[in-house]
Amino acid sequence: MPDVAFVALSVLIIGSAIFALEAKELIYGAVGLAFSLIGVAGLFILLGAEYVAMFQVSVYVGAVVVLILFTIMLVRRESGRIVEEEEPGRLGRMGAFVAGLVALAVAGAMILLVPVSPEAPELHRVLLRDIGVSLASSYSVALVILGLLIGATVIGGLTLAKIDREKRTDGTAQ
Amino acid sequence: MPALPTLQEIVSLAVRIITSRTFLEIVFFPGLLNVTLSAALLTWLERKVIARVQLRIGPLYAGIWGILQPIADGVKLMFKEMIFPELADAKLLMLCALSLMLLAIAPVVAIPFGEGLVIADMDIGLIYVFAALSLFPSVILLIGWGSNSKYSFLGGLRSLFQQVSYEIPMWLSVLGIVMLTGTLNLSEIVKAQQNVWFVVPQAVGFAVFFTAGLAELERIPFDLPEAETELVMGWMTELSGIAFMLGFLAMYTKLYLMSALITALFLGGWLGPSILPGPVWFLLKTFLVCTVMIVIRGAFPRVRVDLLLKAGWTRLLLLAIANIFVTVVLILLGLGWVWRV
Amino acid sequence: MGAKGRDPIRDAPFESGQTHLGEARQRYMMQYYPYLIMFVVFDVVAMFLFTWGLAFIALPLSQDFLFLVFLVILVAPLGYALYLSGKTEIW
Repeated sequence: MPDVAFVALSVLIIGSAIFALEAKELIYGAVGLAFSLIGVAGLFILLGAEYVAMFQVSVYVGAVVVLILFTIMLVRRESGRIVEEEEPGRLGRMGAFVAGLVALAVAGAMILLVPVSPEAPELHRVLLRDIGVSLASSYSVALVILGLLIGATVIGGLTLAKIDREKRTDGTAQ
Repeated sequence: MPALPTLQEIVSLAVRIITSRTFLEIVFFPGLLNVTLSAALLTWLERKVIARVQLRIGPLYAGIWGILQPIADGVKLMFKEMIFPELADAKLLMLCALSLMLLAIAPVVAIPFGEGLVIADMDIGLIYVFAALSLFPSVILLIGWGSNSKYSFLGGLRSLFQQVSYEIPMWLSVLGIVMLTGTLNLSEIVKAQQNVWFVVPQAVGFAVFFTAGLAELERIPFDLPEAETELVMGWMTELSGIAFMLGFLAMYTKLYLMSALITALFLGGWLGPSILPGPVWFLLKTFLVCTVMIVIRGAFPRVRVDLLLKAGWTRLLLLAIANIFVTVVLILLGLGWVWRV
Repeated sequence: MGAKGRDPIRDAPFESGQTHLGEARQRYMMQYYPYLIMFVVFDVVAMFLFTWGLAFIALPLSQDFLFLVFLVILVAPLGYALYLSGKTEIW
């Protein structure tokens, strides 16, 4: 039974990703990405990490995709259509073919050469309470460093975005 | 390869599924029938209560007290022609309107309407509801943008920023309850209120959650995205016919769900003296919360957008954090045992 | 039901009577962009906070201290975001 769910989720994830890449409108691409990320949340549930799955949905699909949509809608000057792509030349097509073969060979080697036990390992369910305890005790320093990293990134990002606008509204050439 | 199932096996499996408790719960109570009927009832209740607040009478002619008005509205909307502006993306709009309805119904499965009367007793039920709620801004943004109309797009943007700014205080205001009960399971949270409802020790959290909930529902005093006098219908402006019905019903379904959530979290859910069965208490409390929200709509002016957003990030966030400190003090004083089952 | 023809007037976006002017999709409310960023940040922080809340009863007070430091650090970017959102001219 889990295999059916896994296959279905994989189809969703990969299919949505392909749709996102091939869509003519950027907005459709973002929607495809959203479905792909929902599929990833499904994978988390299959792995027994429902808490992470819920936050995957609310952080990635609920916040990051929103950010992407907002940026597409407000920052692009044109109506959002992608400029027509050129067809890749002969060299490009050969290169893509070779890369595909190499990827297939590596994946096949990994699957066939690494010994895999027929039994799936026991799902070691971790209580959320224990995660909280270890976060506060063993990993507390990591948490503080994480906070500093987030703070620095956000302040830096906002400052950069702001400066871009300043240059443009000034009217001076860049 | 296992043998293909016979027709008799399929039929007996189907019968087993249809008569199973979960299926009945999903279709009738507390699932689809309950939610759609309540949402329709709420459209009528809103018009009646608002009318009384404004010294009018409201719907009167469709059935006794106008109770059949929602049905009349629904039938009318289903037969109306769906007009989409020529530059608008009709397929996207239909898909988003449908998603709105699905997203509004999705949290029902985790909310306990009675002892053991919950479709899916999730250990992370609370987080699941929040995750479903967090998907609304993106869908609304898509509807606003997909309508290709200035009114709609502005309404969609306002809705996005409003919901995004108030979602964090909403989450943090519930942290106190999580600390007191040590669980994210909504049934357990209701059971933990056997002695005292959480509205007492978590009064600040309740106030924050209620306010943030009003903002999530885009109701007055936070209805800038709709802003009847400015934006016509806000992001719903270009929806018509069935698409409009889906969006409109989704808003009232969300109202019902938010009230049910408040009841389960703060007002003791299905707990109450045994003159009435648990689910009846739950419904009574939920509709009481709905009525309060409706009366508030008639009583308050609208908040200006920049003040609104800033208030969400400053005052409401501070209040939510204050609630956390209050909870910490409560636990340190040794009062935590009152809410441990 | 009935004939459904495409009609330029019927299909125009609604603008209370006037014909629509200009591209509908422009840069409104760009100044509130920092709020979106802060939402992403606090969304992730909430994930950690809920695990802390669940574990709170089991934790001695001294170990809550660093969690509070984590929260206090985030006040700085929040304040900066609020400050930037007030200035419309730079967006």
